[in-house]
Amino acid sequence: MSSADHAHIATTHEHHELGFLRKYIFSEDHKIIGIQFMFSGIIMFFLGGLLALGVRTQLGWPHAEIPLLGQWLWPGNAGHRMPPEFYNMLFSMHASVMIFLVIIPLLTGAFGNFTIPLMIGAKDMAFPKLNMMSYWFMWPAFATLLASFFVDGGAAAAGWTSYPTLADVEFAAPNSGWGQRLWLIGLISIGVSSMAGSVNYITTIINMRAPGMTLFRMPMTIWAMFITAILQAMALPVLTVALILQLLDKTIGTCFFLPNWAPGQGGVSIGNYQTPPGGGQPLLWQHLFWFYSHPAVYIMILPAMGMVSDIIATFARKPIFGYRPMVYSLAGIAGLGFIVWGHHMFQSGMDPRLGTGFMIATIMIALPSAVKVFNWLGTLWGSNIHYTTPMLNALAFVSMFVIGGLSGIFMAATPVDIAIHDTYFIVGHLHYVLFMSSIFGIFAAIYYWFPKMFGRMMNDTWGKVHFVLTFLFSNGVFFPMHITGSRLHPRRYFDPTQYRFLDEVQGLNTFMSICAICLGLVQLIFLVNFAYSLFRGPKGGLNPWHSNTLEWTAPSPPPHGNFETPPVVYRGPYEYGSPESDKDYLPQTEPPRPGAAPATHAH
Amino acid sequence: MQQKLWAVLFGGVLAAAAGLFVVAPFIEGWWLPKNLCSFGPEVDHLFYLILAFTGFFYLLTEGIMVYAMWKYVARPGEKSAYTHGSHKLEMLWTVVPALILLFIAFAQVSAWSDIKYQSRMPAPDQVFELTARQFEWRFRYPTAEQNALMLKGWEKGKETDEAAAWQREPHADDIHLVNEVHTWKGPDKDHPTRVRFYLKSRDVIHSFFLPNMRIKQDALPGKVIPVWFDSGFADGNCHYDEKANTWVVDPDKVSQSELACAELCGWGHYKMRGIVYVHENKADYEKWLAHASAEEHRTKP
Amino acid sequence: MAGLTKKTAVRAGAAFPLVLLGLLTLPGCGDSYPKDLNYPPRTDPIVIELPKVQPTYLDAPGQLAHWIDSIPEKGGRLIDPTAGVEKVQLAKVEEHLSKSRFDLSDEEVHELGLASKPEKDSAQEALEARRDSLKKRIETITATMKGVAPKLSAVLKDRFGTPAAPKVGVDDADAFGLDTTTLAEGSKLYRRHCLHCHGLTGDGRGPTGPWVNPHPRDYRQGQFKFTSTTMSAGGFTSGSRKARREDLLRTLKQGIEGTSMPSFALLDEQNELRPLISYVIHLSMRGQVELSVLNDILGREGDPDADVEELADKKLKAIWNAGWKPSFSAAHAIEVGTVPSYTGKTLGQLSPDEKVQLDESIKRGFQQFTTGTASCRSCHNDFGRANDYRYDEWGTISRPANLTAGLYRGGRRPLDLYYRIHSGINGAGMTAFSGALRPEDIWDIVNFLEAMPYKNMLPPDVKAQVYGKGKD
Repeated sequence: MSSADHAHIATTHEHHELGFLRKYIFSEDHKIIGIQFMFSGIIMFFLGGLLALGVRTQLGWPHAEIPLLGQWLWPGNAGHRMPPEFYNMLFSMHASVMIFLVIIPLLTGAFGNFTIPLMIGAKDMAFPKLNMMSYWFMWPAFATLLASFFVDGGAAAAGWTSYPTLADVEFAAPNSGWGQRLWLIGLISIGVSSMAGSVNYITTIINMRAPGMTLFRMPMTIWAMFITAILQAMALPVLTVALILQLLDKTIGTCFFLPNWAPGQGGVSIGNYQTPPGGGQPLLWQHLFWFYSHPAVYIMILPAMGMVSDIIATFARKPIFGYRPMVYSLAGIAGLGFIVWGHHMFQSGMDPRLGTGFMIATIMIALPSAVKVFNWLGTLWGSNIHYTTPMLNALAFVSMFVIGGLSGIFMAATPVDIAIHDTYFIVGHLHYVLFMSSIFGIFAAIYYWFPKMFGRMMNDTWGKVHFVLTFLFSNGVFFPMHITGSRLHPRRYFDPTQYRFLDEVQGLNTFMSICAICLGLVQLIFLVNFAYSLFRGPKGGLNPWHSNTLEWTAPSPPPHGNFETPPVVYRGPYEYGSPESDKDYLPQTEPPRPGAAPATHAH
Repeated sequence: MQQKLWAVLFGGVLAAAAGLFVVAPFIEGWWLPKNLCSFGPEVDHLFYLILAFTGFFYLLTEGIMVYAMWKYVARPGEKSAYTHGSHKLEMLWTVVPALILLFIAFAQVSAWSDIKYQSRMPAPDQVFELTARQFEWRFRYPTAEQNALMLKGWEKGKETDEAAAWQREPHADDIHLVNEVHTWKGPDKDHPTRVRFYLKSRDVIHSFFLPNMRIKQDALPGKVIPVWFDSGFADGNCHYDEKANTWVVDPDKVSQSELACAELCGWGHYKMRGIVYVHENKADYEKWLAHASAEEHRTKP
Repeated sequence: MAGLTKKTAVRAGAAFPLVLLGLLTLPGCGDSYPKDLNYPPRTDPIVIELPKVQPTYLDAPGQLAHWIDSIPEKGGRLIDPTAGVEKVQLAKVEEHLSKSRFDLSDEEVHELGLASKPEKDSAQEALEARRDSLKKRIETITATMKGVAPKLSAVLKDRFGTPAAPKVGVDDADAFGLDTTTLAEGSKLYRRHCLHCHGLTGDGRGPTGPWVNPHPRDYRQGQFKFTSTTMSAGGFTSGSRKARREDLLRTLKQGIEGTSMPSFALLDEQNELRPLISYVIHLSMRGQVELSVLNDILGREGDPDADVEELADKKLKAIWNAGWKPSFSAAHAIEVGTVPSYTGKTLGQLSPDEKVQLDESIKRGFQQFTTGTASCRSCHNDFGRANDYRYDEWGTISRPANLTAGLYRGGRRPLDLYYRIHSGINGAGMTAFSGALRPEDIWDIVNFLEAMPYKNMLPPDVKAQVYGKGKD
């Protein structure tokens, strides 16, 4: 793209003053769309958190009445007591909301949108209208998933994995009727949204980089978004197909996932109800579902890895250690991520010989993750660490990702998985990856880019208070899960006190629940800080963190069209502490000093 | 100096986490349930193997990180070391973990295939059928004679036709029970009672899970899945209660004898509790079997 | 955020442990019902008369209340203490009147609760008359209930206590395990294990109840399906047959295969199942007293001015003295006559002679089943493989068992089958044959039923008829 084009577009935009609706609601500006994703994501984060607190309250005090809410939700004949299907709904919707409405939209939707054009020096996304559509396709999902709480029988309660036949047969659970149908419809809509986003990201990154921004001068954030988008674009169609098949099963009576209950016998029977002998395969769903949802696990962590890499380099004031290995390991995770879905199905009745193959691939995927961790440590070594709030959250990401990564190896090992499959060990593991890593990554990114998004800084002291408490309580919630998991405490139990072998860990359950309630409360600090800073925070200026990447050369907040003058890139994004400069950073756009050798480094 | 406190915070939390894993095995009921199955030690051994490797790398990486956080606090006016990486180091920390991971992966293969491969399942001493349904386990036991008939000529990895037929077509003398696994203690540790059963589901996916036997297998509607385990390290855990005219599990052994469902199967998922009765010997088991059969054929109040 | 200094942050941090301590005590209420919780009064309709036409489809999940409410449209009768059914009918009648739609279909006639289909010209008058009578009925019910409801609640609370402190207001309750200690323990366990299906009042309408089919038992009718007493059956008004503790224990222990009732055999019999049974009996008695009082007051021949307390005590006495107490007694247990030597044995235990006798018995049982006095076939169509739905006395759906499937809800022991044939299944379509059949006839049928699921156990000619061509 020539600079003449840039100039042209910049001038056209200056002449167009958009109304409020076009500017902030039906905006085609990638930054506004990113911020829209962020706001809805944060709102959903609190909803998902409340659902989790419901789960934890029940687990911590399995026989007690939920304070205040109990009388209100289950009056009269229900005896003020949470029924078990409600509990199932709580954890199913907690997972669905957190995964599909919080983490994926925040990582790819909010930060993908906000950072990609800014960090590659483009004026906007390749397809602004498609981009707008990608956000507005989230709304049918918000609507259906939220509405599903109010339909007869309640929202989906077959786990976020929605395994047939439980999810497929209306008689199998109260929530497998309209709740489940709405869940499916909502997810299809999210699929459309994500697909639109992915196509956009891929095209933008390939076509619209600023002059001089070669692929290997792209910041890690962009690499991560790029690889994530490819991953998503390739895996999503499979999920969409699976969702549609289940929806057909549930509406027009097809039997894709409905088997004969035994070879040569009739359909499955639940009380008086019997399904037709469908000859379908419940395992088929699991394969289709995990073919997407395993890569989705990486969709939920790779962007955070990218952003954290940038944040660590910035506040360590040191070039990222091993830039190319970092890129290759991202690609490695994504590539291997496609051939490991079967590790969710080791105990599912799938041929165990397949399990062996999936196990080896799964254990090997720890390798690129390990390389990333070592490189982050390499970056920290000999650095100059500035403990700002984004940096603390980024460091928490690294240390917590180590725990999540290492605990994953236990489940990957098939024989060990026999014991710990579907126990609290996996719950601990997945929360270390998704909560402790992704959410700390998201917090880091919010604190980091907030000044660019809104032109104001978030309060650092309260940010740190929020960080310390979140760090402490989240470890208090999730680390003991490894212990209850080692006790082989099965997950998704409404009342673990029914089992004698779990008697001793009930105390831990209560402890985790108290920590969870505190964890929920301290997020209010973040909320207040965020809202207050939005209007009253001190002005941040162009480049408050003295960062190298392109977005910090644009005004804060950047106008429609982003850059006043189209940027030209002279070097990689991580020239911190470079001898070439007197400062300890060297922005990508700063022209090289005459006579100085251009810095290009692979390692 | 104040900034170094961050390293202390991280170090403290990470050390506490490690500490929890150190003390948990010594706290009653906070660690792996007592293993009672002959392939259990293999599973536990692999668990400890992975725990050792991950523990080492946990201490190594988190240690380096906390140290770096302590040491490299921003020194105003100074620049950090200007390096973009090191090829040698990259090679080192790619190859070494790769070798370790490959070792861990291949260390699993034999245990996994021994436990789950149908072709490797040993000839059993006892056969039964288990049909899971919302929300209970329905067992079908053969009579002692039928059991013997089915075992005749059973070779490793190859079930007899008699057993396959019994699995398809119930027999009139079969004994039906809910939520009770019955087996017996083998004559010695080298000859545990090997249990082989056909796992089915009547409605949704369930998962047969014996924490103490380290065995877990999903029950899939539409599929008959062969599963085996044994009671290699189990002592007899039940006795005949004359007053109640029934067998009861010794109260202090109940927590080691539980059967659970490990795959979400609906609102009653947590209710699918069962008990494993390990009789002292085969004769005791058959005594119980005769009793259960008589109960099932009861004609007088 | 200028005012928010580091000091404030530290102070807030210090205050946090206090909040934490507060949280610890928050959900501190124990594992029993709240003390101030009362049994809610009955608001759902009482099924008085079932539709003549049997249902053709299962009620949709979660639609139990709607299903019951629609019974009048199908030709049955309800008593609704909230007059809800009448109000819906009134609205429909008024709609017809206001839109002058007088060409009524048969369905609409049922829907509007008209006695017969009016001629087109007289339809308006008929509808107007119906409107007036409905209005009057609603007024009567509302006025009556206004006086009755508080009195009934008070007397029930006095005789039966609250969920947290249940009791049974008869003098000799303690002697039958219905003492307050046992009941309180039972109430705790019920809350933990049973509440979400069977509901606070034992009405089978807990949050999960409407979603499972067959629906959880509504104890308030005072009827339990699988019993072993000879007391007379006959619905909640005249029947005195109750469950014996042994019957309830067996259901708890075995669960009911083919329904959502799981087995609770792993609970302790003495300390857990026994209190649970007592509490279920308590709920059943309370519910039946409430129901019969409402029936006597609001029913067609009811007396709206009856003294509620007196009536309730009368009912309670009858239910206890003529129902539960004699049902508990061994004197009213079903006797099984002389059990044939070949019944209750495994095939391996049968001598060759007995095998021959058994075959003969199976053949006789088969005769009874198909063409004999029992004529089971008239309901168990094609040996149960082609069965239609039926209403049971609760207004919900039951279906004659498929006897070739080897799945017996009331238990698979020969004794259980004997009980079922002897005394029927209470409240369901299965009637008692104790009058029509001799014990030996029943045993023949039992033998036939026990053999039926196992093709190879049937004598060849019987097998051909049960599993003949096209039936295999």
